[in-house]
Amino acid sequence: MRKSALFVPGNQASMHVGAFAFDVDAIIFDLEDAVALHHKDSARTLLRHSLSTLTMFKIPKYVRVNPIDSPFFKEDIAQMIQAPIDGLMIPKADAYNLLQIIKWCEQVETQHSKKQTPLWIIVETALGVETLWDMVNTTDRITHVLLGGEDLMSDLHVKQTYNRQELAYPRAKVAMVSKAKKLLCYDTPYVEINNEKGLLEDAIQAKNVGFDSKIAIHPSQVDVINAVFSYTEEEINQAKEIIEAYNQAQQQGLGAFSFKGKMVDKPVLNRAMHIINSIEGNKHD
Amino acid sequence: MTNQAYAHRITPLTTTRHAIKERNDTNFVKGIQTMFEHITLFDGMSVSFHHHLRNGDYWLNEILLELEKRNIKNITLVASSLFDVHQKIIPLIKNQTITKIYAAYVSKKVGEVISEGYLKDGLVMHTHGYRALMLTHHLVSVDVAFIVASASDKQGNASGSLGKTPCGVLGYAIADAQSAQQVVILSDSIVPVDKPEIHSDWVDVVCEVDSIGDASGIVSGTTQITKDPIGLKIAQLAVDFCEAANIIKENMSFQSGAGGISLAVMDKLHHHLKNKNIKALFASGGTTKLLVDMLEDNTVSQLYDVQCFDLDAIQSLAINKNHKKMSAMEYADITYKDNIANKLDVVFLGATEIDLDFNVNVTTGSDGIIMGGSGGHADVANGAKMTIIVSKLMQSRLSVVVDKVTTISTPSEDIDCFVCEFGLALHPRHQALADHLKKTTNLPIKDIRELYDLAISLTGIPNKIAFADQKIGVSLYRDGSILDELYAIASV
Repeated sequence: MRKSALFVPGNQASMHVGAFAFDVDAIIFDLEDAVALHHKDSARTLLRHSLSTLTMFKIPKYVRVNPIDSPFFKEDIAQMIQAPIDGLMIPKADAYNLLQIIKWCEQVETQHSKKQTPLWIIVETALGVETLWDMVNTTDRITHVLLGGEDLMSDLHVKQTYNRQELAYPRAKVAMVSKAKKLLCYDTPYVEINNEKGLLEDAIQAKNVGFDSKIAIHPSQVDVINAVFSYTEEEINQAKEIIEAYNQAQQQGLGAFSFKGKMVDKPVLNRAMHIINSIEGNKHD
Repeated sequence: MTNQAYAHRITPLTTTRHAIKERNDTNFVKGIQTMFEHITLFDGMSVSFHHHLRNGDYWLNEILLELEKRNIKNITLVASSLFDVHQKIIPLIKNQTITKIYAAYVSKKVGEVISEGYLKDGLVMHTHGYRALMLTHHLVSVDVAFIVASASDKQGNASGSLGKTPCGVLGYAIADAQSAQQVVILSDSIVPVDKPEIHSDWVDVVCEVDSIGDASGIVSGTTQITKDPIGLKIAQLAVDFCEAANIIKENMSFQSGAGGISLAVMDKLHHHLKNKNIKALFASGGTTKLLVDMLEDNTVSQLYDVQCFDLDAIQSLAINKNHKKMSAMEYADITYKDNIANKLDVVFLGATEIDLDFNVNVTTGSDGIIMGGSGGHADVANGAKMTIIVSKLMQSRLSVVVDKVTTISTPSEDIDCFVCEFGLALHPRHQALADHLKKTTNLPIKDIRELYDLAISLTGIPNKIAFADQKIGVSLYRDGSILDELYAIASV
């Protein structure tokens, strides 16, 4: 069970603390789209100070830097790698620019004696989608993959359709590659922040094709996303019963066992254990 | 008795009420100059006003400025609340036209001058409930009650629900009308009044005026639900706590403060009651569209209304028989056996500060300046079975949780739970409940010190407020006992 990750504008100090009040798996401080061009430098400075102050919060912190083809990229990386963060989010990643990105990260890490910084890549170009498998095999830095639907639609010259047809292939590809490499994958943000029904349907679609969760661009989206990617009470109870049946079978020395008239095989047991482990791991401190 | 002593008496007057007129002989006049010919006012007397017109009120200022023109000094002002619109009286405080004030709430613009030490004989901050008790038991005697009503007949049957500029039920003015030596109704709508809050039997003079006030200030946007996601999160957490603690159930009763987060709790509670098909017995206090919606869709059976905050509430009061008017006595006076405050299951209130002992301050700001007051805070906090404070952990870069509140407005004994965006803390007397909820729910139950430490780690420890030695007033509990003393701020 995964919760949402929440985007927070890098230049809005008042939101930096408040973001940690929400029930999310990660906070992503944004230096890219949320920050106007003439505020890029000040946002970077502000964010670095915020991050060095907010160390009491345990929720993992990521920073979305500006793209490699922007004039802000190098300084973003140079400053943020020195800050206490859990990783960098890289926009418009593809197998070709990723090599340059890693090279620059290594240079900064060496200069400041920093460990390897994990990367959360955004797949939001046609090239990114098509070279995703190469990307995740290029480096072990990548821990998360985010599908960026808005930029991808722009790259494809298509508009958003009612049932997100335009994302069917990219979603399947991102989910499949991520699962193959045991990486966490997050679905594209839903931009209509007041449309709860639309968000719900969009999140369900993403869940159905294998996404672990979905990014929230406003705190009001967090609970809806968390609810979609949580297990239902029925699923949890059934998982508990399956594990209980398994334990009893073990005590009796039985290799195979049945539950409610059906034989339980290993994938079913694994799923039950995954559900219970996820819940235990998500209890409040 | 000298005029000076007269201003400070706290025992009932020996003079007979209505001594200046024959009973059943209400004077109807036009304009305040003529009105003054029919009342007796001299140095050292006390005058009262209600606050149902909030920031749209004209007449508290106008009457007091007229007293200044007439060179009447040492006035005791017995106002249920003072708002920013009343800042015109600041020169009158400075020149000692007004020398003593009783109020349940004083907004910052007026509070500032009191905190600077200009109010000669001091400020008595009380609760709404104690004000009703104080007046009706003549612990403070009012010489003239000026009651602005949106409608009145010529005999003085008056209401806040009718007329050109309705302001809603005049719940706080009833004690004034019943107890003052002389009662003046000021209204711009002289019409027949059915079911009045103020009865002609109590009234000496009805004064027709051009306008009672500014309609936009009377039903202004002071009662908007917060749209701030953090405020909404706090509201949801408060409702989740109530659900887990088995407070939300059939026939429950509740009230909220008028702050944005408290109103958001009402909205969340409404949805919760509706989704679970639970019907509450009553809601009380000041009413808004939120409560009216609950009444109309049957999530609550009755509203008990002491003041209306918006037009929806005013209209509902006129047409819905389950929307009931109540006086401040019925609302919160401890000597009134069936007071509604004592029947409440749960209340959701705000705080400027809450300390590690769970005392709450809603009277003074972080700079020590008076900027609020209990209103009904301590009344319902004491009366309700569960009192929940809802607030952000930090306001304006300062922690709301402090080691010791600047002023005790509501004591620790009456506070049960503090809910902020980073979790909720229960008073130590609810340790068993806290332990139970930790085991059985995912609610972020914290020790209040944890929340304090978190806030302080972000804000640092603020400098102590520098107060002068000059005592400027007291903060009273709902039984009239002194909770705390107020001091002037030190000059910088």
